Order: sequence, then C-alpha cells, then structure tokens
Amino acid sequence: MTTRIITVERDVLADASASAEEFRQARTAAGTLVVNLVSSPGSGKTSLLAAMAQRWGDRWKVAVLTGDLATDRDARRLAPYVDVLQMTTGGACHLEIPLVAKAFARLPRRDLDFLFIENVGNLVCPASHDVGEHLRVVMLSVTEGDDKPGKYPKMFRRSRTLVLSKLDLLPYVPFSLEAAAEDARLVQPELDVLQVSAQSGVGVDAWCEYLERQRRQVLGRDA
Amino acid sequence: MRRRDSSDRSRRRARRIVSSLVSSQVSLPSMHEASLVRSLLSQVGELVREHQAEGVERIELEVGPLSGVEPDLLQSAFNQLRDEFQCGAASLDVRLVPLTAECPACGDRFELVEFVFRCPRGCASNVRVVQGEGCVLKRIALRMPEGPGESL
Repeated sequence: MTTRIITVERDVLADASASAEEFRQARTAAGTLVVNLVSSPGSGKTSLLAAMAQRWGDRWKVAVLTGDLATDRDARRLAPYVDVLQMTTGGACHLEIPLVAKAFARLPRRDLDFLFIENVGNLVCPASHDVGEHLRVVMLSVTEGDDKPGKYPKMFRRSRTLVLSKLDLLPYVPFSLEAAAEDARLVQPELDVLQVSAQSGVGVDAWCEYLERQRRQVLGRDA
Repeated sequence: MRRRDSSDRSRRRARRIVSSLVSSQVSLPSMHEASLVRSLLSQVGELVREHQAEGVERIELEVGPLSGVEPDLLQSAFNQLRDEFQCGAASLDVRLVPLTAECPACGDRFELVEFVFRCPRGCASNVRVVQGEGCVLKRIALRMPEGPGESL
C-alpha cells in the first residue's frame, strides 16, 4: 500500500455555496429580492413579517418560507396575509439551501417581488449557511440585551441589516439602542440599523421602504 | 389570542396556502457540526473515486474563530458518521488558525482580536477577512492500491 497526499484547499460548504449562488441568480433574473431573516427565538420575526404584509396589502407579490423545528404555528400566523410554506426541519438548528429550494418549488406562485426566508430561531448555526439570499437581516429584540452582537459575532458579521425590535418594551428594560448598534458595528461596520415595534407599528413603514429600496438597488428594478 | 386571530383570518382569506411539512433529510445527530461533517465526507468520497483510492487515512481541516464550528463537536460528529461514508479508517486533524484580515486601504495584514473588524492603524472602516472564517478542507491522505507509477 502507498499513501498519496492530495491538496484540496476547498471550503467544506463550497458545494452548498454554489447551489445558493445559483438560486440567488435565478431569483435576481425573476425580479425577486430574497431576504433571509435570522434571530434568536421569540425576537419577533413572524410579527414583523405579519405587520409588513398587512401594510403592503396587495402592493407586492410576497411569499414566506418559514423554518420551524416542529410546528406550523408561524405559517398559520402568516397565512392570512401572504403565501407561506412551512419547512419543518425535524430538529435541525438551521436551514440549508436544498430544503429552501425544495420549498420554493412548491410555492403556488413563484413570480414574486419579495421572498422571505424566516430562518430557525437561533443566533449560532444559521450564520454559517447561505440560503440563496440577497439580504441577510438579523433581528434583536430589546428584551434580549444590548450585549448580544459581540456574543454572536458570526451572525452579525454576515448580516447586512440589523433590526432592533420590540421598541414598545424599551421603557421596561435596561437596553441601549446606541450600545447595541455600536456593538454590532464593531463586527460589521457596514450594517444598516433599523428600529421597529410590530405591536405599536413604529418603524414598520420605514422597514417596508427599506426593503423596497434594497430591491431597487440590488435588482435594479422599480416595479 | 394568537390562535384565535389566525384561525379567524384564515377563514377570511382562503386563497392563501399553507402546505405542511417539507421535511429535511436530517437524521441523528441533528446538529450543526453533523451537517458540516456530512458535506465534508461526501467531498472526500468524490476524491476517493476520482483518484481510484482504496480508502482514506487522514483528513486535514482548517477552522478559525469565525468558522462557526466547535472542534470537539466536529470530531465527535466525525467519529459517529465516518463509517456511513466508508471512511471508518480515517482520522480527522482539525487545525485552528487565527482570524486574519487585510485592510483594503493600507494593505496591511493582521490578526483580529475580540472580533473588532477594523484596521489597527485606523485607516479603513471595514476589513476583508482572509483566514479563519470558513471550514477549509486542506489535504487528504489517500490509501492507494499498489501498482506501477503509484509510488510517491
């Protein structure tokens, strides 16, 4: 027997990244902005999507692929407003591109303006996985603490946008919006920071406009 | 309250569709490192076929502070999964590398400490990470059949 050493120098996720890039390019061509929404559980991803969809009404064609370990609760909350497809991950802590692509193919209509991927609530594992998005948005609710960006650097590093949520609870918790934004910008200096409360509606318009602007910039489309 | 809301609205807006349960292929151990190890072992399997090797002796990986993996968990996921991918005899070497970045303005290369992504000279507002962010398959040692032209 002999041993042969092979130099590879390839990222373990290279195949997944290539699939994600292919998915992204197909959505770009179709005029769909893909948004990957990540956060810890309970920070308000579903509430923000519901508030946004109500605000938009029939203005844009929107669908949501929502990831959940075990239930279809998020999908049921969103179903009154948008096309939504539940991806039950069977205990897996994050979404990967094959599952997202499979779910997308099962949507009733795919000529969308916006596709939201509501990731599994988790600030760790989803950070490593490109699911074919144009825009990764990380949400942080004020009840979670303003020290979280530095504790989960990879997630904040790989996001383009930070949405600080549950602003209506700010009077009751020791949370500094400035400190959170500053901490997040240490790991990602180019981060855009938005503030919302899905309950009171504060910042929901700005969130909708931000997405419309991103769509124009990323896809170069107005309609 | 939430459930009552959603069922009322669901009835009102029937055109929207909720399809249930697109399940992923995840089996045990359903953690992040296991899915990385699966990707790793399937890449290694392709290399084994490509080089017509008899097996794999060693796999060398490079990870860093921002790779999103825990070396111990990676190792245990590897131990659990290697048989499934015909790599039962292989060992996994995980090498830790520092998080290294390059400043686009001054071109300096430096180690990033405490995840502050700024040039220590203060010139650029953002820096490019060149090492320590991915999970890189560096080299593998393949067991080759004896034959002409196969010696190193």
